[in-house]
Amino acid sequence: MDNFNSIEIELDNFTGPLDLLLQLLKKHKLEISDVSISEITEKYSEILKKMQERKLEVAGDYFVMASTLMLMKAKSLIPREKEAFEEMKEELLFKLEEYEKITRQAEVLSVFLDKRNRMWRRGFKEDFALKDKGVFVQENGGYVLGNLYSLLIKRLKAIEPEIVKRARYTMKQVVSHIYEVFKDKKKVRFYEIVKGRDKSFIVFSFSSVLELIKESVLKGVQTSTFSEIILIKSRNYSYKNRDKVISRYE
Amino acid sequence: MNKNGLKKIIEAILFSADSPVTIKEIVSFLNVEKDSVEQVLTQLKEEYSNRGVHLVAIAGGYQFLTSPDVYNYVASFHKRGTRNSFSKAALETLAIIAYRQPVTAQEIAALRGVQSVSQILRNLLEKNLIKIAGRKDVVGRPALYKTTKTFLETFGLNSLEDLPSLEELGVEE
Repeated sequence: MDNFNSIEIELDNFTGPLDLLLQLLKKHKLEISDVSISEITEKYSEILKKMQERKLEVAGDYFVMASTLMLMKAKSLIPREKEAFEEMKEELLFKLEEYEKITRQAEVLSVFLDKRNRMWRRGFKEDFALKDKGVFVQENGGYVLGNLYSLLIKRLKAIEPEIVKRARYTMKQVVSHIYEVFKDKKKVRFYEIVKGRDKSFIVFSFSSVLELIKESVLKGVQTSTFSEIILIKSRNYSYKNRDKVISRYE
Repeated sequence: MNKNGLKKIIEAILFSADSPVTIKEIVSFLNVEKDSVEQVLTQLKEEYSNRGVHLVAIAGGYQFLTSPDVYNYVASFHKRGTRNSFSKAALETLAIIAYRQPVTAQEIAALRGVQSVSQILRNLLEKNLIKIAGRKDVVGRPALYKTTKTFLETFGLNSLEDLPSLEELGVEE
């Protein structure tokens, strides 16, 4: 797929600045070894500029590469910096070559995965792509436990006692907040909704979530007792018609 | 135990398991010669090679898996759609870990030319595809990542040696 010709240049099409550079080289049919730094700097900056014009959020990684390229270009113009330039160039080319190997290896994995994905095992256990089931504690036991522990600590922080004042929220506010949270997301952890909020907000959110689950606006998944609650949009969720639902709560 | 009896037992054990069973497990459970188990497995593999279910050497063991030829029928009969898929960035990260393990997060980030890979690593850890296997003896003692048995199962590999080398891929080292 040519990621450049489409009007929609999306950074999502690239896994990072090296990927973008490599695909640029491929597009212009350049070998890594005989690339002209000034040419590639220009093309690279052009793309970043285009993306900024379209107000796309460009990750810092891409700017780091842009400034490296520009520094190289500058050095290449100063005779006494020639050696430094050559060194930088060599390093960049080495990185690109290494990265190209990785893309080849990733392709290999992808081929293996496709083949394996065409076979089913007995019992039809869901793949992890489909399930929101918990992690099986296998070789990762330590990591899983560590994760649970940090979750616990986080939760304790979230519910640190506080003198309860009169309710500062209404169900309406909270439900509409939940709608906003889900606007661009399919799946949200309960803690994302209440992050940084006080106890009464948590209580309101929890009962609102229960209501919304009852109304099939959301679905709730929990991998085990007391584990994190994961909320998924359900069939009755509609951001457009949110006011109808919100107005029902007082 | 005669040969035929052994074959029946091994076939049934493999049939009833939903994850790969290793030769070692069979040998130690049935207390039989490794050679005869291997023979039976080779025979079973051969016998099933033309069936709707294959006996596949995977993740260091053996497992019955449906034949790729009939994938569509099985998937649509059981109403299964998408299967395990990975973003390009996740595949790259897995490739780095699979080929160069053990590696640190920083090494992975440097190879991919990005600042941080912690989000991807967390995802892969949660899916049990990678694990932390010790710490590197440098400042900060960063975690070293390795692939897991689940990784082999997910990608249909018997062992890491199944991964073709760069040379085999036609790339100069």
